Amino acid sequence: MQETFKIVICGEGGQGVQSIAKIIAQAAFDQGKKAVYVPYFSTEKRGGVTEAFAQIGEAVPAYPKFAKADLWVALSQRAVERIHGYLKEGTEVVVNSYLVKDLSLIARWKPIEIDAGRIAKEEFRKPRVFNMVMMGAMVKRIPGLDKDRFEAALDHVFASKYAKDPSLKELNRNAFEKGYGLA
Amino acid sequence: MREKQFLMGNEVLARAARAAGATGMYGYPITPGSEVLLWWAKEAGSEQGKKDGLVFLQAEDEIGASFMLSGAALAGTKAFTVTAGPGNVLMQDAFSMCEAMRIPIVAYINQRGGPSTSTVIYSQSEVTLTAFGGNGNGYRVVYAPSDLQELYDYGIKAFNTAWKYRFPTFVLADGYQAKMMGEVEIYDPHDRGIVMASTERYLLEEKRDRPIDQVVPKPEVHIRVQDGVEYSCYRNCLNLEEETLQVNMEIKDAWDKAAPEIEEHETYGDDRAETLIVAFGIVGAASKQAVDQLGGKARLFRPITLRPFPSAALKKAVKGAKRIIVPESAIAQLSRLVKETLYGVTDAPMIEHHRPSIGINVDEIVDLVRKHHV
Repeated sequence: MQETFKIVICGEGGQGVQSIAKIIAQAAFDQGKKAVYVPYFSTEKRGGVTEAFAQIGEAVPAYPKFAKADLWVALSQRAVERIHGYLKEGTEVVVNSYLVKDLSLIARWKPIEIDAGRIAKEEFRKPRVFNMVMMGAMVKRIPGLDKDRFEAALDHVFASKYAKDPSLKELNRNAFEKGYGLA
Repeated sequence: MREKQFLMGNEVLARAARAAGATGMYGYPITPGSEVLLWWAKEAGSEQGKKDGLVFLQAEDEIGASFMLSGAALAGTKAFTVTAGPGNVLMQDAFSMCEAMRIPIVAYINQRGGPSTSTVIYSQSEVTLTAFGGNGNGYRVVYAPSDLQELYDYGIKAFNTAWKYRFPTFVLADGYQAKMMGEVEIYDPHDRGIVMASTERYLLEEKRDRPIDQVVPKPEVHIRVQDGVEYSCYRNCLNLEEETLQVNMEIKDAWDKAAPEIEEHETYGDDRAETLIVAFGIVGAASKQAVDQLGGKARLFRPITLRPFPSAALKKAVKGAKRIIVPESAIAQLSRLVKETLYGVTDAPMIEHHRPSIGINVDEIVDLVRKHHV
């Protein structure tokens, strides 16, 4: 694994962009990696685009941002343009193709298209788990992360929600597995 | 206790205040500082918090919060606030009073973009406001941490500096540091042999056994008893030009004595390197990484106190430098301090890299140094 693996993820406010990045960074730290995460968002109460940056590795620097990403994830069409500048030769690109329809800007990176919105709606009957599908796809693409330990960490993060509604646990796990298998 | 935790910067700041023994928090929420209020409110409402007498008060606005904070410190409470951007502007009225009366308040400032509302996350454009925001002749201490560990270390130290030297003291962070998550070591300062300064009803200085006529500025206290309650009324204005001059010069003398003890800086890299980078805060952290990548081409001078500015140390560090590069996420705030310090000291040209309210990546600093390296 290279020294530091850099991840940028972008989407609409409310899609869970920050939660996904935070959970991944926290899980990496829990697995003994060095990790740092920083968000970027604007003043809108709703309707804004939100970005998150995470770095994972053996010696992660104090400075939380970077110029080019190793893993680049867009959850909405507007996100594609917003974080286009973080692409470099060899960046791995993952998109939520349910909302990202126009791939012309990123075609040469051969994006991995995950139809997470449709999968969540049709297969799981729960639109909100689309971000679990995306997280599964992302974790597959991050070198050095242990999948089983990651899923255990997820159980920990959502412990209070699972206590209220135990069926959520299986739903989230299945959605995560689905995304993992697709990437 | 040596274990590292994965925490958000704002939680690190709140825990620093708690570890320092602060008991009062007065504030008004604003991005990127609100999580400090949230953490403190929860802590104050916990069993242990109640037992320790923690106070949390969300005021009607920043003006109210900052005067409540000043009152708490006057009454001998180790107290603090957190704010940013426009909130920092509103609090300057109270902060200026704290300079005049030397009230040891602590304020954590998480810089966001300016001017006005601008962006909610990041900038380095509150240097001038935080260091010099009063209406003149005032003195205050400003620490500028560069990473999460320093947020904790200086978050604690600020209280000791404030109460030891009796100047309002600031920790100037930014929204990246406040909102980022990373690893940090949370410790009990007592385990590190850090002795926390004692507090008291400030102007009387009884615990320090200092006669009241040696306290600067000499307080005038009028004790009034009403319905069995004793009120200490402190004078906070001056009448005559001559008196104003005298009091201001007395405070200046106290500052001039304290400043050399307070000043802090860090130098990094090979001291034969031709290019001297002067950067602070999180851009200082990025510059450090750039120095590592530049293999002897550049070195770093990082002021940790922006006020008092470590002038003597910078004058020394600039010796042998062929050029000075000042990267900052603002327009000419740090570079103004650098120029003021170096006037008449060096012929080395200064390259100012002003990037208002946008982060400065490691690669950008590396490119900048390479571009000017002959």
